[in-house]
Amino acid sequence: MNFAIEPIDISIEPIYADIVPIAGEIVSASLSLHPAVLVISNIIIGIGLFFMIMGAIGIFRFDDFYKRILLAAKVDTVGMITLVIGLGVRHGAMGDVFFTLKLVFIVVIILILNPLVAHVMARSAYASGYKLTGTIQEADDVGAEDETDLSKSIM
Amino acid sequence: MENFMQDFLQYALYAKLIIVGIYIIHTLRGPTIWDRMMGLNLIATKTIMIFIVFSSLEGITFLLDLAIMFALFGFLGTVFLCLFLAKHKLGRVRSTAKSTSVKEGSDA
Repeated sequence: MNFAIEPIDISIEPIYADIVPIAGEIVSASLSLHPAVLVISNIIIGIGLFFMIMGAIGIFRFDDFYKRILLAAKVDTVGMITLVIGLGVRHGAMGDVFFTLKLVFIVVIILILNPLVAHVMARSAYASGYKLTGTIQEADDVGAEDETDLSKSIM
Repeated sequence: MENFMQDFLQYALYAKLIIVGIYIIHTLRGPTIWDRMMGLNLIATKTIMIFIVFSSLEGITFLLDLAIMFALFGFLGTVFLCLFLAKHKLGRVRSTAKSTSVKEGSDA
């Protein structure tokens, strides 16, 4: 009596092989990249990293919320743009057009949404009574007067 | 040097994780509720960057779709939280306390 289970052939035919690139192909392709392309993309990504580290330090150094939100809106956008350009150069040199187009789509979405989010946060902070601090003292009174109208207009 | 150039994306990933740690400290420590909201938004954007770098490292293309979903839902969540806070004026007490403390500090 032989109860041994026969090994089933589980090799599935790669249906999406021409649509979704497999991991092994990209790894083997990245080894064959031209070193100049690699250096250029790494320099671009490194510029973005430098900006983001400076932003992370600067968030702790500014003392007002409006300065911090002004900083945060720019640093994130710059970091995303440089990262996408660097990876786009690298994957474009590999011939991976699908990946590059998706990256461009993401950076378009981020370019629209990120300044919008910063504006919404600063506007709702101003409307809910966060006073402007700084050398211009008249701005405080103007904010106190416009407070109710602005909060009504936001809703 | 060639090894450094090949593995640069991994180091970039580690640097982004360290920056996320700094933003988590800022989110927990932030004096007003708006600072916490800004920290959450920064962490969401850094998450999208980590998604992109990881998908490029591993060659998994559908992680980019998840990155798009993260961007859209993070935007929706931040906007509606801001509308809620502005409608009920929840940032008022903390903000006045903070502004007076800043003025006292600048005078001293």
